[in-house]
Amino acid sequence: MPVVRGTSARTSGEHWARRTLAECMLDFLDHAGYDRIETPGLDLVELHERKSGAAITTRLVELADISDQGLVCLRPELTVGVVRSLIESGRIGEGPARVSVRGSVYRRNQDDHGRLQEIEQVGAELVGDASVEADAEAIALAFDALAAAGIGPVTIRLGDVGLILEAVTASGLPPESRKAIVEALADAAADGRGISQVEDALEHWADWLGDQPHGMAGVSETELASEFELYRLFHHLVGPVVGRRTESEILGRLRQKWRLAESLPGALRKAARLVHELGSLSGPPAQVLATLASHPIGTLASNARERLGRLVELLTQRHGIAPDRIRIELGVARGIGFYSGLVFSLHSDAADGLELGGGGRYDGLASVLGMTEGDDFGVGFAIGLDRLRQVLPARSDRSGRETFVLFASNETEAAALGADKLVDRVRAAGGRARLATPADTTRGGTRNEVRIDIDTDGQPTASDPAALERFLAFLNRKS
Amino acid sequence: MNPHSFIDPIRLAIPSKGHLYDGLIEILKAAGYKIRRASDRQYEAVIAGHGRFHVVFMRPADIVEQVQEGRCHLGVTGYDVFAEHAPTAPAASVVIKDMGYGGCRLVVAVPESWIDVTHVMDLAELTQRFKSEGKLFRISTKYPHLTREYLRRRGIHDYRVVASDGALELHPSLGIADIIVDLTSSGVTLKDNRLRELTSGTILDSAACLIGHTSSLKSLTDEGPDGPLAHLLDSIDAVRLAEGRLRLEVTGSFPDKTADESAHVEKVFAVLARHGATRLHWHPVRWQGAASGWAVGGLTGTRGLTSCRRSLLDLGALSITGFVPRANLDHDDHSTFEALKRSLDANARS
Repeated sequence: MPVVRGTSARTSGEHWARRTLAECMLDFLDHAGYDRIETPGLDLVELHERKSGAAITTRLVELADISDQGLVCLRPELTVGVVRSLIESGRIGEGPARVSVRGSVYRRNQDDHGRLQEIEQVGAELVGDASVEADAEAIALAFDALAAAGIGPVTIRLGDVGLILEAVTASGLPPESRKAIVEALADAAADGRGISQVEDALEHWADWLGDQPHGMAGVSETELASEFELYRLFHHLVGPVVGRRTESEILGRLRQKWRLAESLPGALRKAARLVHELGSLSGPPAQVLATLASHPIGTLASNARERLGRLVELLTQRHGIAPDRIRIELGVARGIGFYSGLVFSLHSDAADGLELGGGGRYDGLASVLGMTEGDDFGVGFAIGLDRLRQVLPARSDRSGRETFVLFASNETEAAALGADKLVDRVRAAGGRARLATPADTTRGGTRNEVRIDIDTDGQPTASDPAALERFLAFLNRKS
Repeated sequence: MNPHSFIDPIRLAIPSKGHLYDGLIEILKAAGYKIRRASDRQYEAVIAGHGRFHVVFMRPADIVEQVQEGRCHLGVTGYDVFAEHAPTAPAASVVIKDMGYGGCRLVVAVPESWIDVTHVMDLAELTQRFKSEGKLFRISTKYPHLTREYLRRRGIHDYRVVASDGALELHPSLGIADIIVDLTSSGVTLKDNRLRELTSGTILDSAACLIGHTSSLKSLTDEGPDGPLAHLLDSIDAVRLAEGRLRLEVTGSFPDKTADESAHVEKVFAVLARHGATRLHWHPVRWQGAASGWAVGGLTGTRGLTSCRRSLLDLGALSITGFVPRANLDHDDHSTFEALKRSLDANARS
């Protein structure tokens, strides 16, 4: 029987290697004041639909007929579950909360016919703090946690989806098309494509414009038929309305659409230009910040620009990260729709810039998830263990440790000779030991097992003197 | 199982009834593959004279699954059904995408009264509007995967698919869903139910298609041009290519005894070629009474003869006949078998 595609079983060696990496990072986070928590592997789909953008919602692995509370999915990411649990426990109202979490997340891979992907992650969230200092703390923490796990050198890429949202808003696009463009960007970013994909999204809108009846764009609102005339015409030409939309909804939207057709072409062009320009702004922080200072988008979103400058300052001066470890890439649309401003990712220099993990600021998430009191700010990150294993393929020294197998001719004898006591002593001293079973006698042990015979005096002996010495060393070790 | 083991019987899964069934039976019959089925309640059949083929009848969606699993080696189903299930059927490949019948389109349709919604991008805003009013926009379809994929590419995400079998046309008026994504061929059923297609709302063009279990196909193509798969595909090619073709025979007499026969026939060729005829050839004929004449043969489109009849009569034609061939295969015609073999070989190398 094959394993489900996209999942994999792990050998003991792989288990220990991952556990070591994860524990190094989680210990580091613990020492930084982040409490470990666990969240369920199943979520209600609605939990993710409420806030997550297309990058997540189109990749949900849904499970039918599981719960009467609604449609259930395997958790696609860790943050939403963490924030929900903080709200539920009332923790979020007590001031900023710092928590860490480890677990597997499940997504459909769009490029691979929607096949399942199981991804194991370690993450941290700082919820309830809006400051740029909190942003710097999260980034430095991710950077240092990787170092603690022995991963390096790592480059930090900083972006700000707030700037992209700002650029789309400033173009004068109406909210409805803005949302669709943001979703298209989120989807493209999740597939590893850049914000140049905005062109695709804009093209669909341009196509929509082309579909509007001729001459409609020129009709101003005052020239539109009077309310009464319009309704009369509607009844005459269209007849009764079925379904969930009312006649006035339809007519109201029609009027809005006529107005939109007039303003949209220019706005589309402007949005495309602004987003493209953002995409070209990348490089060392000093250089990008200097360009941005005199750039129309920089003046437009001066708060975001200043905050980005302050963030770089904090990372280099307060957290001691070398400036050449930081790059600003304003074309990064990672998680747009979910993240509200800062986004960042960490890349291994050793593996051709392989992305090890990333995160961002998700202000507003807690409110969307039902929080009524407290601050709904948040910033966090997640690091993928599979990626770390690609960079650091070495096995853990805990794999392949030897097990002493104690042989006595039968159960009574084993008890009489105190073999089980010896097993307990080895275990208590941190070694591995067990009593032999008949299968050991007929088939012999596996390669990591060492045979220890208990003679009639209750004394251990072994054919390999070195192995016996190691065994005795455990017995003499104080537990 | 060794993927290249000799396959016998070759299991061909076909729809048990409906237009996909009727059209296929017709094509196969014309191709010389007459399916012997005792009654329409029997779900297995044989093909007269083609002993290695074993026909099984099932629902179109099951056909994709059985071909994917390799229990059936070939299958005929709607391309729409295949495309919907393709993500879970990586071991199945398309052999003939359009068998020339069962044509239809998968379209997004909205209530006729929604005069403000004409283009599929209108849904981007409309779904948002529903969400902001606390309602969830609902789409009824038998094709949830294709629907999601199509809307995803347009940045439309805020809706719930109501997966449903049976007639969807009533769903908007009953309030089960707001719009539907369904198959249409003429659009009449949509119109009769007061629904309207959206501009840019065609998700997929579909027709009956032939699919196969990829590694079984490899083993069947390895049997070469005299194997049962080559024979079947060549025969289907010949029937499909014959459609719209006319075998022509024009006979006539020379204007006078001294005429240059070749030069005259060249004039007849030129007229026919101008109207799209190919494979032109001629031979001299003797009319009753010993007058000498000519007979020209060739191949043309169904309408190829209509426009040149008068010119042919002027050149002495006495009789102009067009035969509709049952099967026709020209040496430079597309060969499905060759194309399949090439693509399987290319995939095996990569």
